Amino acid sequence: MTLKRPPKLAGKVSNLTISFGSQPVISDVNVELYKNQIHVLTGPSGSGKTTFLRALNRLNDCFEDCRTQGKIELSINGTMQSIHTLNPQQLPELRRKVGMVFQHPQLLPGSIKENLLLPLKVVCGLKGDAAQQKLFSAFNQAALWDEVNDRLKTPAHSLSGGQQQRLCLARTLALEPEILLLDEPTASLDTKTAAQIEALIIQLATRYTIVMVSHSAQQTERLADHIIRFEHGRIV
Amino acid sequence: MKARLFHLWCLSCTTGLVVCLTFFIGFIINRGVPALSLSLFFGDADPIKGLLGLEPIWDGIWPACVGTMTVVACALSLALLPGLATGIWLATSAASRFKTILALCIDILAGIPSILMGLFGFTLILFLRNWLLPSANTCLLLSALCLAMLIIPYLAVATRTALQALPASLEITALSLGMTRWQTLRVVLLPQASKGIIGGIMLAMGRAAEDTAVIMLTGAVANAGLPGGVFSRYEALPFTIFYYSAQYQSNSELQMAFGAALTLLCLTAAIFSIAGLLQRTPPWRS
Repeated sequence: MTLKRPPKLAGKVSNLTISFGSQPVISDVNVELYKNQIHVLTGPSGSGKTTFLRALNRLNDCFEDCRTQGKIELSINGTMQSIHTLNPQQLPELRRKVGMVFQHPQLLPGSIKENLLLPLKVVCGLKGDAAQQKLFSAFNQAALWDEVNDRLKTPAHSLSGGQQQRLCLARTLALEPEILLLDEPTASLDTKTAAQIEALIIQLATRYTIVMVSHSAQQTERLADHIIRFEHGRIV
Repeated sequence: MKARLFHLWCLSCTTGLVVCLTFFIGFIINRGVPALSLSLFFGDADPIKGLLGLEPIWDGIWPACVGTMTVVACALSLALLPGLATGIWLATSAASRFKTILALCIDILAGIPSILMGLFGFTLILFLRNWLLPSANTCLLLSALCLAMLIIPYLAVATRTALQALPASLEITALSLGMTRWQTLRVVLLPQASKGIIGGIMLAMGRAAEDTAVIMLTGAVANAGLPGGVFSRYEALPFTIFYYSAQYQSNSELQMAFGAALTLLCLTAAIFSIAGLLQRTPPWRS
């Protein structure tokens, strides 16, 4: 008989309360995240799932009227860091380490290649061969290389919805994150493409801690190591 | 029935406007084209020597063309950075009372009649002469400064509008990839808004090129030859048109006014056309 080793803690959220203006969106949420596990956030629309996701990379800070209280700690570079105390200058590094893919593919202007190389150049200062190497490996990880290798210079918006979503995933992976936040990554895709992305997520979980939002009970069943159900801004 | 009547009213107004515009432009072309010749631009001087500044041009509008282009270039170089910076700040900063007041000030500045701006420049030079610089005089630099103040709102509003027209998700995406706010602005937002901003710059240039009230109080004169420097007086097309048409003593002088008017019309039409072409292509293909 072999005992399965308990997963390591990748993050801890304590007493998290987030409000937009006077409207509370998340109230007193406590969550533990584990390394290389898939955490699926479920619940009805407007229950605070996306807001919770954006709290993990402090993207809520981009909204003027957002107020966040509570503690968020994430394991980054092997140490547990207090995310809630980071100053604005430290946020770009946090967002690189806690990568995010949105519900609808959010492309940058330009070609498929530029979508991936621009953040690499601007954020990591990578150019030339090093950047090309990263591009190749990120496209491979996102299972997109075979489909785009002969048209890297075509506009990114010419790709299909599923390919665009995988391009966004590849772009995030190229920046070498440690935690992946996926906000309904299959919401706008057909069943076949969604299955492709799901297979990819299971594969990626061997390297990354994943926190994702899903509205589909079947998908949650298939993917989740941990289910976190939100209702009216609270975990139930 | 009411909607139909209203539609007819709109249509007749538009048609009336087009007819007036066609008549007006046709009139300028009709009167201006016969005047177009090398002698309109260079008078009795040799065109090549006149172009190179080797021979003074007394009865041609070439010095005025050069003067207009110089004063527009100077005004733009003075207004560009403050205008763009104000527009960027208005588009990207958080809502605050100061922002509301600044936006109001920009609107007020945009609404100030240009003659007041000219009067401001004239008063400024009087103040300088009386208190700081007795040798100060109206000049090309003063005109450029006043024109710059006139066009700063155009630049600021065009920049703000172009940036605000971009989808909000673009900024969020760039920030989520670990870009700083400055990097997001520099490599993502500004390149995307560039067409709108360049369109605004062209409109501002057109506005500066056609203004008469400012320059007639701040340095433009009827006869100065090619501009000798930013501290000298200069000739400009709008003022030349005003001067020739108000003071003409012969039919040929009036004809020159129409020739100069057609030249200015072509210059501003070219600038506005480039602006229109640039703005026609959508800045963001979603």
